[in-house]
Amino acid sequence: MTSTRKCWEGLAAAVAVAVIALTGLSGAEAASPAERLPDNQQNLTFVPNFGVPSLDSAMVPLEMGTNQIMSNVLQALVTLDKKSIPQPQLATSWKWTTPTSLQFKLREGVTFSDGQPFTSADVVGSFDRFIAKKATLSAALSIITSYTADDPTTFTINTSAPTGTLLGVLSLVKIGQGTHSTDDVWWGKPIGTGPFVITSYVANDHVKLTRNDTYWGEKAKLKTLTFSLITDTNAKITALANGQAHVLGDVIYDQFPTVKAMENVTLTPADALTYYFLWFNNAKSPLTDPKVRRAMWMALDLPTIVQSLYGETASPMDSFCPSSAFGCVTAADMPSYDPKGAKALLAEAGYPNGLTADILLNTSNAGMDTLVSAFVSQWKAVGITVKPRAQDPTTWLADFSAHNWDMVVNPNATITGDADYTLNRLYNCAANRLGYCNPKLDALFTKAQQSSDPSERTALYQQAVNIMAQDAPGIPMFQTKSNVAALKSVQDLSIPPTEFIDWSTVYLTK
Amino acid sequence: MSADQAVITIAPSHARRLRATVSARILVPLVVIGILGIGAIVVPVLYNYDPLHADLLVRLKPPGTAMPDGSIAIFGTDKVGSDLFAEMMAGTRVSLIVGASTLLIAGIVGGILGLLAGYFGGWLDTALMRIADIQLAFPSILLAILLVSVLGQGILNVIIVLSISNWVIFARVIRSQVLGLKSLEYVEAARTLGASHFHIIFRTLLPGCIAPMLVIASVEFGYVVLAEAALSFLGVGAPFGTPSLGSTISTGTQYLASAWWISTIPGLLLLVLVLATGVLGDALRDRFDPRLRSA
Repeated sequence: MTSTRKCWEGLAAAVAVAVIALTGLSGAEAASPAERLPDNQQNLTFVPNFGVPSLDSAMVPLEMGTNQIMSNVLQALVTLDKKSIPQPQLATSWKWTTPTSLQFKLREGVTFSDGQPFTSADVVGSFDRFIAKKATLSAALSIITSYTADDPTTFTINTSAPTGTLLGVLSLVKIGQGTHSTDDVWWGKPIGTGPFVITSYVANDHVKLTRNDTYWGEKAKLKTLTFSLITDTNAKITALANGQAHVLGDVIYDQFPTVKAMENVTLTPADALTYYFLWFNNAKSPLTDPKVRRAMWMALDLPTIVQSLYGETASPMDSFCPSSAFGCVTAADMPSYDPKGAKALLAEAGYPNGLTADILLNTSNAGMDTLVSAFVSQWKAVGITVKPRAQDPTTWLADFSAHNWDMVVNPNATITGDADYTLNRLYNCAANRLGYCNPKLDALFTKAQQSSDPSERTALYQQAVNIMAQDAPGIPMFQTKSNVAALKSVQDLSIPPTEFIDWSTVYLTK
Repeated sequence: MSADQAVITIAPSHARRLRATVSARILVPLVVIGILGIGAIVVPVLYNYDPLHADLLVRLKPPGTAMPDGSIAIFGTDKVGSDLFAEMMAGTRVSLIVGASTLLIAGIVGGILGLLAGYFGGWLDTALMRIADIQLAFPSILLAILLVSVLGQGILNVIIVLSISNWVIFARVIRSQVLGLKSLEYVEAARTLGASHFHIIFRTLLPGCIAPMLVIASVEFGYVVLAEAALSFLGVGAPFGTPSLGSTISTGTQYLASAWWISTIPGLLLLVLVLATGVLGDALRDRFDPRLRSA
């Protein structure tokens, strides 16, 4: 009896100890995630997947590499969130006071990293520079007729017509100090209001940033942030493996097995705004005929090609811009793989024995040669002979701009996160980028640009992409994910679709 | 007496042994180059190799994989699913064509200039040899990269570029050979009999230069093949759509961890090809120009 009771007591005690031990253990585990490194060791190195031609945002406003760095140094009136919706940054609020005038209320108490307070004069100075430089953003900014600083915290933009796309564009207009608007040297290494400050820049080697200790918002957790400009794929992986780099901007699919085999690395695919297109020269016979263009599209088994070459890192597109951007809705009746149908359509268009064409590609785009080989093989199967012309970037650009091609393949990004940026900029008649013109489409684009009602805009873009799927001016081939590889010691890293990572929240643990 | 006999019996056997090793050193590389040459002509035809053909479903397969058409990819497949063996042989074909054409052009141009410089001497000799000095002082692969960047990609341009960077060697060697031959009795005799310059240069001096020319050609062959591969590796040699060992090795470097065979096997083939021509050149030199023999 006693022994039985003792036995039970013993068992109960053992269970209690075990429960305490287990809860204690799990509690301890939850309470102490990997320990944060001391401040003097918060030094992170990132290898971006884009080149950095210059740090002057006004000269190269659309360069991905420049934006990736400068979005941590300079800020804009608005910034795009994960769904590409404009959110307050240096402006706290905005409203359309008339259909063509947009008024911003600026954030108060903001200072540049040198201590100088931020005012509307700085916004005016920066706009002066972005508009005067007539760089790649000039077409998008041409709708602005005037802008004024009404008082130190109010800034107003007047446009020539109503527009619903301006805010996305303004997320690329970075604000520097107004007094330096014509100073190229200053803008080459500018002082901003962002969480980091540039300390050194060696072209084609690295850009080093340090924490802005006077930042108006929550201060960055990293002490220094280095953008190491490594281009060779193997060198990037090696840098990650030996701890020289903490984060790689993009890992190509064929390197996945290598990276996944590294125990201390996580690989995160994130939705991006980058996509790859193939354009037909719509002004050059026989590609002037939409039947021929559709046939060439139908000859390609894009889902299989994309799956084999890019696996889960890319997906075929169902519209003419990446689905992560606003307004890029699924087009109805997009051509799909049908080699027999392609042959029949070619015969109908008057080419029963096939045709010959060339395709231009840029050797600096890694993997394009493989993609083009796959296309050439599939076109050959329906009797179309295509000769690839691989060219270095300079020659490529000259031939591309001169329309000296039958077909061309290239990557592109919808970096304002809005369909207008890609569709209206590339496919309207005036742009004449690929000899394509459809006045009906132009009318839809203009209407969609001027509307500020999202549902109306979506409906207009739906009509537009449906027309484009019939006309087939080009083939939207696939949209890619950015595959960021990071050491497990890197915490709170989040990758927005623009790929402009906000490094201020990131920190390192042991 | 016995000592004399020993000398008489040992000397011929030593000479025989030497001849035998020289023959083996000529024969083995010749067989290797011959096999590669035949392979380069036959294999791409047998495999119906098309450099632009892609079969993505069988890309990056290891050596020995059975292909959907029933064949075996003995060296595996590359990044677009091409049979690596056929691709390598097509690349070897390009290497051999570039090597042979370059040596032909560089040999003819360099040979003629060397003959003229050596025979006439004077300002022509000084001018040509100073140009040669300047060019020799400049690293030849850098010169080739510079020229090919100006001329653009393409096999013909690679041949032109490598010929430009190789004529100097021929010119220098032939010139020194001519300087030696010029004072020999049979050349003096021809001159005394009133033979024209043309006759002296091409009928009396040239035949004496053939052996050293062959020796240099075989030594330089390996260098030219390697230079073409280097240019293609750097992306300035064979254009997209033209197979080349250099570009195959270059694309394979991306896959060293996951598909080692794409770089490694063509790399070994290039090694064998260059080594074979090097050994052959060495042996030919020993055979035809024993004065140059080392050790």
